[in-house]
Amino acid sequence: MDNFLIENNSFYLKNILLSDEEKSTFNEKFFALAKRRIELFASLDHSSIKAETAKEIFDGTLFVIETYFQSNKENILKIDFSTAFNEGIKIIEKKIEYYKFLLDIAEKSKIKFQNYYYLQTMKNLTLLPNLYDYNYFANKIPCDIDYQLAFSVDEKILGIDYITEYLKRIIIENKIINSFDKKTVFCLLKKSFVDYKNLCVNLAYPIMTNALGLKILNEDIKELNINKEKRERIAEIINANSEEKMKKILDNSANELAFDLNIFDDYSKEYLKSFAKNLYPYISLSAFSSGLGRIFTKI
Amino acid sequence: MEKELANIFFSLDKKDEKKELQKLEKTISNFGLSLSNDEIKMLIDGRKTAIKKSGLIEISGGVTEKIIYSFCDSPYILKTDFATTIFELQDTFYYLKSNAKYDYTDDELIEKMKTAFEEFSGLSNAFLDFLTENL
Repeated sequence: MDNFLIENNSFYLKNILLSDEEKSTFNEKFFALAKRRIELFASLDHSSIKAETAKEIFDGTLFVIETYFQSNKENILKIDFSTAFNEGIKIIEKKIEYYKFLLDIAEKSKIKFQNYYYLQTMKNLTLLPNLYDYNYFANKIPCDIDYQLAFSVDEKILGIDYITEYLKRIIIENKIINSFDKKTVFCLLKKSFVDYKNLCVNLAYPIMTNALGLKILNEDIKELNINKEKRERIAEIINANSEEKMKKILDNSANELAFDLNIFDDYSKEYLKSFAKNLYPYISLSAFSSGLGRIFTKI
Repeated sequence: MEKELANIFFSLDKKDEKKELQKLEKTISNFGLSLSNDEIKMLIDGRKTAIKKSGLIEISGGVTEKIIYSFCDSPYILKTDFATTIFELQDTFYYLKSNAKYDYTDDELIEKMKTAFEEFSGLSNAFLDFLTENL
């Protein structure tokens, strides 16, 4: 059972722990802590709890401990794990404060287009600080986050870290959508989706894709329109360049797009670049086969 | 993983369960009831099986004692099948603990079982159906 935690459960610990001694010490101290946390949860009123609940508390405890050791790796062999847990909770509380700060920005930048999943998710995000039971289930997100992002958060990221990451991306996407003329965005959404108001779709996706396509062509991004002629020109560029070169073009285009949209912070620029990189397999395949009509939309 | 957790808790030092049940001897004898050593063993083994079967992890003991305390004064407990009735009640307790919609404490659950036990005049299918449907 020595490497049980690290091998099977932990996303972060794999990067934190180095030696076998550290792993072994960690496991021993952690199991004792998890046992205490489960007992505390059951308190005096319950002599038994569901195994799945115990497992959730176990995972929640692991998340708190990992949170602490991410920035205090040197303490693994020294610190008492109850102290580490309490310190981890304090870090999580600070993260919740940061989340609230981001939430305020997200609320203020909320887009004006009605999409059921977007609105529902935005509403749920405001409930999170009150629902988040980080003492026992810190790895969980206690509300539904159904709205899809243009570039999803890695599902290995958990709890407050996941939701903060999600919120950061929503803020970027809000900013991007709000950067364009409302009427133009409306026309693009109507053309891109049968029913953008009720479908579980990402509203920023067609905007980011078309804007990126226009940047590849060195054209003005404001019109957000990619007609057949422009699609053919993009296809020519894709077919004329190697994968490596095309990825470089996409990367540069994402950089220029960020500049045009007044996006200057590294995190947001990286988001656009990741989105562009992620788009490559789709546009390269479509350029060879069915054409780019499904990727770039004509208004 | 759940299995690993169960092992951690089952390996804990618990009070001597046999002794704990034997301590009840005086209380139950007031109602003309008794438990032989074999019956005590049957209850201990039965509890462990019921916990496992219900997908639960035992944090602390004491449920069998609580059930005996709560039910020993019932007019529907018969001297002849006292141990098997407690055995069945134990099973029911853990089944409900795992399947009830609401997260009842041990005491709340035992109280609800006792009320139903009296209303349905002891153990019966109706007793179990009532609890399953209403908790």
